[in-house]
Amino acid sequence: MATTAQATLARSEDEFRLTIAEYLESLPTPFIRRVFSNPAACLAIFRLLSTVGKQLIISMLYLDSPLQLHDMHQWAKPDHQRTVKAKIHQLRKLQILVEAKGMVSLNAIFREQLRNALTGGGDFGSFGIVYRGPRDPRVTALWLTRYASERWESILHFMVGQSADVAPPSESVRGILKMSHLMDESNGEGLRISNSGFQFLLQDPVSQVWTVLLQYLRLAEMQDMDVVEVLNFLFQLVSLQPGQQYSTEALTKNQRRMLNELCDFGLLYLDGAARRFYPTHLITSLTSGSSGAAATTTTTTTGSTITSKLSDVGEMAVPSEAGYIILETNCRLYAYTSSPLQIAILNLFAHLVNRFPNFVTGALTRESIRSAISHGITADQIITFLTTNAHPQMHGHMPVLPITVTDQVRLWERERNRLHPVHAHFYKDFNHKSEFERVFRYAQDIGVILWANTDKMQLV
Amino acid sequence: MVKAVKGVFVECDPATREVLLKLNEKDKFIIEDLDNTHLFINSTHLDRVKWALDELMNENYYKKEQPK
Repeated sequence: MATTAQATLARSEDEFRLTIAEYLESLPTPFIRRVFSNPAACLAIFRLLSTVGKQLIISMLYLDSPLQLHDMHQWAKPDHQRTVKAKIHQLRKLQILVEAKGMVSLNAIFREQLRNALTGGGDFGSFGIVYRGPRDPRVTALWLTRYASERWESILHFMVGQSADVAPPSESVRGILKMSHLMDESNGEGLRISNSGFQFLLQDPVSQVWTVLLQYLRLAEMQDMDVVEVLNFLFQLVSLQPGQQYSTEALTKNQRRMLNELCDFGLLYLDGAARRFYPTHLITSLTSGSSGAAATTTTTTTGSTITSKLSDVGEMAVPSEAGYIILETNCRLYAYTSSPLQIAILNLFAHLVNRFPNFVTGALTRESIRSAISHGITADQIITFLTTNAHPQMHGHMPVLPITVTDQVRLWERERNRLHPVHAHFYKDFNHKSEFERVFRYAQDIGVILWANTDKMQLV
Repeated sequence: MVKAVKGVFVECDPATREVLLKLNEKDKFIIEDLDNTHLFINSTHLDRVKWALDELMNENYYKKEQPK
């Protein structure tokens, strides 16, 4: 039961790890150097890596002289050599590992600052300065959690279109939603949700927050804000303690602006008058691990793409909501919830029949799934969503959702995609077989053949 | 002389292929019938073909009574 949830969580983490890693890679060297000069950033990046990556870095952390690359390969058992080599390659791309003439060492700045982060030396102001004034009695950890969830949900509500009873969020939030194509400006109606928006809704909260933050980074780039400053500040925020109050005095103008904008999302609570802010669980849970992803070191073997999976670092910082959906083998659905948002999301792909004060019933029908698919939601996302929100009682079964239902949903999806069209060229009427052979071999080498028939001498 | 024709390469299952061949009789869009599971069609008709196929599939589906 736990493994399926972990596997699905791991997959969604893969996706956004992919993007944050890509973003870091795309930064030029001087920028990276500035990012690394901040201990909080180094620590945050370190936590984002996979177990093997962490192991490699820790082993080299207190070595001052470079190491032979060959020796590093020896650290792994023969059958896991490939994994280790892949990890080393990833670290090199992130510029954490520096290679020269067969010797590798950690990037000096990174090494220095990570040591500082771990031992508490150096500029510990980068971890946030705690506010030393009296506490506001109103703001407790519980209050903050509720505040954050409310804010986040109101944004999701706005996306789903339930905005009749919910005040629309601020300009900056709407701007980000539009820029990331989660919502599109449709003719005269204002913002309407898009295909990727639907997919966003079905993801778990941590991936959602990551997606938003990445968009924010891109927006910052476009507005000529110093990307490194923004990035550093973000990394600083993710390492703060939820519920603890921090002073805003030491922050620059840009950082204060960021605070304001992030506040709209419910990631922080800003008490402007008293000049302090409280980070909420939404932002601090980003690197401290969502419910224990599998600690195994399996990685995908796709050559150059980065997949860093977050391994469980022990405790679970995010209070994950208990599942609330029960799915029967006859495709009937029962959801123990009264939250309009969750009901709206279910409405996207299920046909809801009855609604009670604490409980909603419905079914997955062909029509409802087909309409969901035509909006761009894939069968896998629906299945992942149902699995992650499944009622604890369902977890007794293995696999969590009845196979009949998952297969049926996939079949319905395939029904819509019966044709696989690919734009191509068709070659026929070759004069000689040798001519055909040559073209065929060339096309094979560059890997563009879709279909070939050697008897009739035709190629696509 | 070698002829190169631009179009859309379609992969489908044999049943769908038969349906497409039948649709072809009304408006010609198949450039070449490649084999049991592949066809090469004219790109301009692609959307219409998809839509017509979908319609046909829908007609043949039995809708069960909604449970009250």
